[in-house]
Amino acid sequence: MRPRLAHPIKAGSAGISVARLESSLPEGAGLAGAAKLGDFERTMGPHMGAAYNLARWLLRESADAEDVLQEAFMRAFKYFDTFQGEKARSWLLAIVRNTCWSFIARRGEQGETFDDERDSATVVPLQLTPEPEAQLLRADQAKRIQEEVAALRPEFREAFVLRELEGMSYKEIAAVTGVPIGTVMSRLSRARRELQARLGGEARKAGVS
Amino acid sequence: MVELELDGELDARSVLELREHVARCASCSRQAAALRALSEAARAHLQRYEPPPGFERRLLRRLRPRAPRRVWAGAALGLAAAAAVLVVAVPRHDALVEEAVAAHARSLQLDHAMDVVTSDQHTVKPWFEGKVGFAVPVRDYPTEGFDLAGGRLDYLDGRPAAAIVYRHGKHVLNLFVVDAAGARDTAPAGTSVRGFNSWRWTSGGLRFVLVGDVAGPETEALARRMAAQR
Repeated sequence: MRPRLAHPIKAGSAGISVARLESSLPEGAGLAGAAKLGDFERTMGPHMGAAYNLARWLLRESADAEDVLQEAFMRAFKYFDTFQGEKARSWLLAIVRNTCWSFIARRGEQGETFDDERDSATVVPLQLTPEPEAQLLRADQAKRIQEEVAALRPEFREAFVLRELEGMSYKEIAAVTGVPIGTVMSRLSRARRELQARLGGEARKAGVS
Repeated sequence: MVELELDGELDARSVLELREHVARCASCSRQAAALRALSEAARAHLQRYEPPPGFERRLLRRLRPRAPRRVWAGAALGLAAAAAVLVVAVPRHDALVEEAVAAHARSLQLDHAMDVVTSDQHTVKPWFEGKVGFAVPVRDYPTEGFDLAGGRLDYLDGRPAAAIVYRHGKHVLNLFVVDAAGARDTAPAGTSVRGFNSWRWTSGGLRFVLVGDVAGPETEALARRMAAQR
C-alpha cells in the first residue's frame, strides 16, 4: 500500500517564519497604543492557557513558567506588528517555546543537546510482547504517565504534550518547535516508545503481566 | 503508519487501506491497540496546567506602554546578567554585531541554521538572488577547515540579511551580510559577545559580521581571509 499524508511534508519549511519573526524588527514600543494592546489581547488572550501549559511542562516549575511567560509575552507583544494573521496559537507558542529553551540554557541544566540523527540508535526500541494485552496499560500504570512524561527529554516532551494535550497537527508542532515535520514524527514516535517501555516495562519487572 | 492514523495525519483512502491491513495483521493490531491506550491514558491523566488566578490580567497590565517597567522577579537576574555582559562587551554604536550574535544563537536554538543546505557555493549564491537586494559573495574555505554548509535568509536591523553558514568540525559559524551602500571600507575588528567570537568589516558597500564559537585566533584568520578576498 502507498500511504499518503494529509499534509504533505515540506522539510525545513516550518521554521522559517519563526526565525523571521524572532528577528529584530522595529520595536514600536513608544508608539504602541491602547489599540495595539487591545488587538493583542483579543488575538493572543485565548491562547494564554496553552502557552502556560507548554511553559509549565517544559520548565517543570510553576514559578519559572510564570517568569518565562512574562518574558515571552513581552516579546510577542513587541513582534506583534509582524503577526500576519497566521495561526495565532502556533505563532504565540513558538515564541513561548523559544523563550523556554533560552531559559533552560541559562539555567544551565541543558546537558547534552539531543541530535535527532546521531542519537536515534540509542532510543529504546518498541518491544512487542507475545500477549496482546501486555501492551495495554492498567489503570495504575496510566496514572503514572504524568511523571513519565515529565521525565522525557524536553524535545520529546514538547512534541508529546503539544500533540496529546493541545491536539496539534504535525504541521503545527513543526511550526512551534522549528523543526521539519519528519523530525516531529520521529520525536513523537520515540516519545511514545519510551513511554510504553517505561510504563509497561516496570509492570513486567514487578512480575505482573 | 499506525501512528499517523492515530494522529489524524493520513488521508481517507490510506486510512481505509491501513484499517484493512490492521484487521488482518496481529502485530499491527497489537501495536494500534497499545498506541491508542497510551494516547487515551495521556488525555485522561496528563495534567493541563492552568495559570494561577489573576495571572493573565497581571501579565497584560505589564504590556501597557505607560506602565512603569518594573523589575521582574526571578527571570530578572538572568536577564540582567545577560544584559550586563552585552553592555560591557559591545560598544553601543555596534548594534549590528549584537543583533548578529543574537541571530546566530537563535539559528542554533531553532534547529534552523539553513534554508538551503549545500556545500556548493554556486548553489548558495543564486539562492539569495531576489531574496536580498544585493549580490552575495559566497566562498568556501575547505583548506582552512571551514566548510560551506548552506545559506539562510535572516533579518538584521530590520532589513533582510544573507546568512552564510559554515561548519568547522562540530562548530557552526554564520557570516551575515547586509547592504551598506555608500559606506566606506573598514578593516576587520573583533569582539567577544556572550562566549561567541565576532568579527565585523565593511567592504564594497556590504557589511559583514562573522559569528561563531570557534577559538579566537582561528576565527580571526578566517575573518581576515574573507575580508581580503573581496
